Amino acid sequence: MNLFEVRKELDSLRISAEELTKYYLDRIEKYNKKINAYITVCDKTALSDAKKAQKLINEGKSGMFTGIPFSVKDNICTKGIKTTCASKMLEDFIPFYDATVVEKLKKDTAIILGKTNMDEFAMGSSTETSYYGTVKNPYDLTRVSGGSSGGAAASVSAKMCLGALGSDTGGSIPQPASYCGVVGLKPTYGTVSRWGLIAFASSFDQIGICANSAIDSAYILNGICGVDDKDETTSNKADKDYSSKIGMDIKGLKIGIPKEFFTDRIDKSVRENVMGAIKFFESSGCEIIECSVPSLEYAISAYYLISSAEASSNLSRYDGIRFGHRSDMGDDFNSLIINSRTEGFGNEVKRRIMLGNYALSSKYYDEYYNKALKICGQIKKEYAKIFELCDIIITPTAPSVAKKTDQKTDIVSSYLGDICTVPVNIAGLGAISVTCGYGEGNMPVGMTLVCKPYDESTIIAVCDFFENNFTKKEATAYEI
Amino acid sequence: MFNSDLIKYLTALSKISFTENEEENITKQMHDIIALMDKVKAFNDDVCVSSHESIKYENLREDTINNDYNTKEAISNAKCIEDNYVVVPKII
Repeated sequence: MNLFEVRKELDSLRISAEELTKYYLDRIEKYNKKINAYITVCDKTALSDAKKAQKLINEGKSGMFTGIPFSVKDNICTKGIKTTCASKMLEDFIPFYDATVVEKLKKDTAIILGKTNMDEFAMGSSTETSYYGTVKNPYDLTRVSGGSSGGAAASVSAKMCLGALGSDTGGSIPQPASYCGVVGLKPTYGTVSRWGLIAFASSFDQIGICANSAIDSAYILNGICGVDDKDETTSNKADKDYSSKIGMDIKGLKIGIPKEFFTDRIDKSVRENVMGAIKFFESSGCEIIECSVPSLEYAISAYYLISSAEASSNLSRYDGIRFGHRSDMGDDFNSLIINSRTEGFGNEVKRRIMLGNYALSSKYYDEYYNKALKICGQIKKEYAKIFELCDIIITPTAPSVAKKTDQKTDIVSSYLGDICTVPVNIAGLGAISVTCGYGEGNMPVGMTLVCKPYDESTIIAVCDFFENNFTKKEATAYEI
Repeated sequence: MFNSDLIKYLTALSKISFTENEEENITKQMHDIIALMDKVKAFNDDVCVSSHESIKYENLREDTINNDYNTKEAISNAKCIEDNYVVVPKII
């Protein structure tokens, strides 16, 4: 059932908000030990909010999200609920305010089931950097769920919530969505307020959605988008209704296929599945246009230089003084700060802070940071040029299916694995990932549909069309 | 070239520290990471505009005082407080 259908069941009193909430809490109780998708489960508040939701439903005052159970990634502030960023640095941090997106859900009396696991401070692509352990893939518990929104994607895939809020800086929503066989929507930069999202790289960060279907992602985006005077980067160009184009005739739609995304650095089974989907669109009357992002070869380096530079600044607030882990050792002010940060941060976070400071240091600023900014400008131009001819772009979401948890990957190889997703963040565009096939080990393969700025309605509609003609295999491995 | 001096400079900027063993590992890791970052040097930027030139700050709100949070809330996550002050080791 999609969100709209669940809404009808609730409003017609065929199910109650408490029954629905209890159903998901029971599933979390049963399966979270195996999957590790949730860091914090809010069973008491969820059931109490379900009672409030039911009162509103009974009075005929329900909104779209009243009584609907969500999970929230643990870098999104929730008042009174631990928000850890999966880091020892924030293991007992309790925000005294809600993020704007959480306020919007709560205004409708949505149910927050808990906070989902992630890579530490959103730095990673597998949740292996989490202080709370890796999130396992519901399709194969010996594989990762992807990251950094691995918990969000796994919570939807294993039916431990109806929808999940995640965050994306370099692919952290579509990639785990692809690995876990669900839909992942990363909105155009500025669509959703970042107020209350614990910052990683502010010029790339965006809150997004993992959901069971494109139409669900549209309903959720409708509820969380919009201008916020607490976030100056939010735009008034957000759509009024992201489901408005669902059912549109896609004949004549121009689909751009950038050739650089289909080389042999993408696994054969991934390429075959994505090309299969493209052929389906062609046979449905779409026009397939080969295009190019020539600067793609610089994207990874540019992304890591800028995101790490911004992270080194954003994470300088973690000094153990006003909040966060405070060391017991430190005879002077400076030692206290150094020890608190050394003890509180994991290795990947430390590497990125070091890289960021390297890129911003006076000796290397021009040759790395400034150069990276120019590459980003060029990549934006190249995407804009493609969109002069095309309505949407299709690429693989990730170069491979989810890897095994015991497969050791060196740091540089793991960075290179982001090649399909980081260009979208660099260009500030919206993108949705949907399962288009099954590859090695029968694991889901995702394709990403990229839209013109603020045109998520089109990619949602095209994604919905594909879903209606594709037979999805549900994850079952975690139920055994 | 990543060497011990550069690592010490960066750890000072980053306000983190490493043991001797850890320093050896991080030096090797940063060396590999920077080798990947060096890719940007090959980019011809003669005619490129920086991406940040396109950001316009048009919607700045008025700087007004409001009472959204109180002192008690604001320091509720500090580990060492006394009478609404955060306590730190002597600075001067």
